[in-house]
Amino acid sequence: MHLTDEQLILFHYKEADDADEIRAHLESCPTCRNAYQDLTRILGAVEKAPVPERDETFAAGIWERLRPQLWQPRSEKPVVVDARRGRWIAVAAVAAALILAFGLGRFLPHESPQQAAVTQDEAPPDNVRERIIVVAVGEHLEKSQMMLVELVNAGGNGTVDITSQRDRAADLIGDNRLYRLAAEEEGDAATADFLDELERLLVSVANADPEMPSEEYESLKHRIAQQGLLLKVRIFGSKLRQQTIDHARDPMRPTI
Amino acid sequence: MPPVPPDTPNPPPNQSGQSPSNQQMGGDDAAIVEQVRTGDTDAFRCLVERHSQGIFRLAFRMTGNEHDAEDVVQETFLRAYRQLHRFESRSAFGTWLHRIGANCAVDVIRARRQRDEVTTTADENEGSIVDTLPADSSAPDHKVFKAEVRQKVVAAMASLSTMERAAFVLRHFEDMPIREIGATLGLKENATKNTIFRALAKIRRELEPIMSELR
Repeated sequence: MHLTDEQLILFHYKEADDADEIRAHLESCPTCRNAYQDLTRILGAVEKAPVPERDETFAAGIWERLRPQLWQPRSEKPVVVDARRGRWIAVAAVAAALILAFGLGRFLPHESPQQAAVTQDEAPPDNVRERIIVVAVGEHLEKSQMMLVELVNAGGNGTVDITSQRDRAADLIGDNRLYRLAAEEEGDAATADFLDELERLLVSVANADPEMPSEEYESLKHRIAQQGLLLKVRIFGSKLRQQTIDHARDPMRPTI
Repeated sequence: MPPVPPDTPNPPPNQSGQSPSNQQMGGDDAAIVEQVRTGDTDAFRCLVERHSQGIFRLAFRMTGNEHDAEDVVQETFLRAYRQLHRFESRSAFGTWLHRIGANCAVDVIRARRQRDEVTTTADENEGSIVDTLPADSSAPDHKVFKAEVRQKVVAAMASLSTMERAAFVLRHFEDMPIREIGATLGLKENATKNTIFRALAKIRRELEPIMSELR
């Protein structure tokens, strides 16, 4: 009785359950030994199959394309932001610059009536640009809210699949960071703190295992609930939406 | 003396999944990973420079297509960066990276299979793997590897289905255990074994006419 090809293949790859018997058989059977020799020759030839070479510039090219997609948040864990974010970085950068110019605190929802009065007195000349700011931040908060809602409603047995939420969190980090920095520059501590809380959560989600263990997921949900993040995002977002509606009804009214 | 294997047969040349240069420099990889983890994103470039060729070879062997292989390299480093916090420094970075590369290649293969199901006829007109290879191989050992044998080997690899090719490359070049290959390709263990058996049967069939030259 000779060894089969399958036995020889498994033996070669050290995956045969009966390796000792096969080895003993090969020692004593010239036919199987020849068959095994042919197999090793064939595999040896396959190893010489040519692979196209890449020159020294290959790695540099890979890095050039990769670099813009890497982003290092304040967390010690690296986060990769999708290439699609490039467009948003540009939008957010413009928005952040405008926020810095006009004062983030003037359109965020915690302003006092006195502050609002000052704001109106100092209303910037270009309402269009102001609306862009409100819409950009509003969209950002809306997307954050949607991501959070889906995240807290995700479920599963043993593990929870948060792949989609994780990718979106990575997308949102860059914009959030710009708005937070703008708020800090403006000395708007309340808004900066809120955006900082949101950013920390976004970073955690972006770095999480896409197949999150249930325990970890429950802990994340608890954190969101404890910090009241979803509620805060809703309140800020809703305030901004209201401002947009108000402006649509009365275009002469300053958006900010 | 016939090649009866010892208890611990010599591994295939690329068993570790790393090029020799990577192996030589492997000791520094962990330090670079730590550097990246502490916020030095640009340090990641060193890892790209060290491992991109090795990942390309793996990707090409698995996909059989240069263009797909380049995409796999790009995606592999992106995923590796994203998952860097999960890398345990006690294991070899190159091996870890090759596992990611294998998974990326599988994703490409799956996407291609879906695409091929829609455009089977168009696919038949696509160039074979032979067309993707340089006319004059720049492989270091080309002088000792006869052209006919080379062409036969290329044709043999091209005769494999995408799953056969992937399973075979992972087992043979990456030294991935069959069980792990099954998990990577979404196959049961027996199905994985059969896929590898089929792959080798096809390769053997293609190379049979030139067996005498291999001896």
